[in-house]
Amino acid sequence: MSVQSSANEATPKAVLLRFYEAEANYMKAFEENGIASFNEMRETMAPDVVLHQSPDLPYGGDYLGYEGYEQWAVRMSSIFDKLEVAEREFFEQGEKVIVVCRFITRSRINGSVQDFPMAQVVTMRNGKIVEFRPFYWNVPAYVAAATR
Amino acid sequence: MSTQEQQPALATLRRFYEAETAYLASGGGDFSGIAATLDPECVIYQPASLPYGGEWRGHSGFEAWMKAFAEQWSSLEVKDSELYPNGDVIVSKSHVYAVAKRTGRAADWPLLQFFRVRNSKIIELRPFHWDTATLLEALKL
Repeated sequence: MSVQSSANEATPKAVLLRFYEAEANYMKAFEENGIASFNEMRETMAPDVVLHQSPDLPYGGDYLGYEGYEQWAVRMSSIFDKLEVAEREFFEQGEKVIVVCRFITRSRINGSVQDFPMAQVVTMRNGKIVEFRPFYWNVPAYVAAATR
Repeated sequence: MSTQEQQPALATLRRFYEAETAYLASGGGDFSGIAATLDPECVIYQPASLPYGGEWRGHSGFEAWMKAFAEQWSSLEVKDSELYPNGDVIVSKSHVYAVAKRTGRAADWPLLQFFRVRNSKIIELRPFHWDTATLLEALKL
């Protein structure tokens, strides 16, 4: 499979779908073995990828590069023991794709479930993801999820 | 073929924006221009944490939401607007600059708005604010 060689021609949505597939594989491996390789996800992102999280979220702030992304993933999994994305709709233009979906999480800290709409802007450069900016429906609900 | 012809929902959204601009410019009052762009069953969803949170249904609900919103914000400017159409849905990406009416505090935040269109009328509107906590901070007395 020539995933890497076709990366430059891939549409933003195609790159994002590949990222989602890699992310699902990562999470499955982590669940089954307690350890997972980040390599497949890394292939879909540029080295200077940045993830912006709303500042008031329990995991708010900017996460830079592969290392930053991994740090964020660890912080998320320390708060939530369930993460599910459903009913995705895609909106593509130029090097950006916007995804609107349902985001279902369960707090590891207090067992509460958050089931809200979510939207995310993903920006590409040369077939790789350079920026994620998720928009949470209701930030205070995620603050409560991280509170004992 | 122009983008507008390919994406008829765009024409609906532009009519809505024009009507909204005219309504705000006149200081409110006559809502009929906006109502003409809305499906009678339209719903606007707002995050529960905001003072105007919840679901606002129908033409009267939409008008009530605009009044509730205007009670909180004295000025509102939307910049850098980009439209992402796909069939009967459009997502608009922009940046909002607003001043809270009671506190006088300025706030700005990235905004995504999800519009669903049915029979050339808006049936659903759902704004995604970058950070509702930022809005609440500006509004808090």
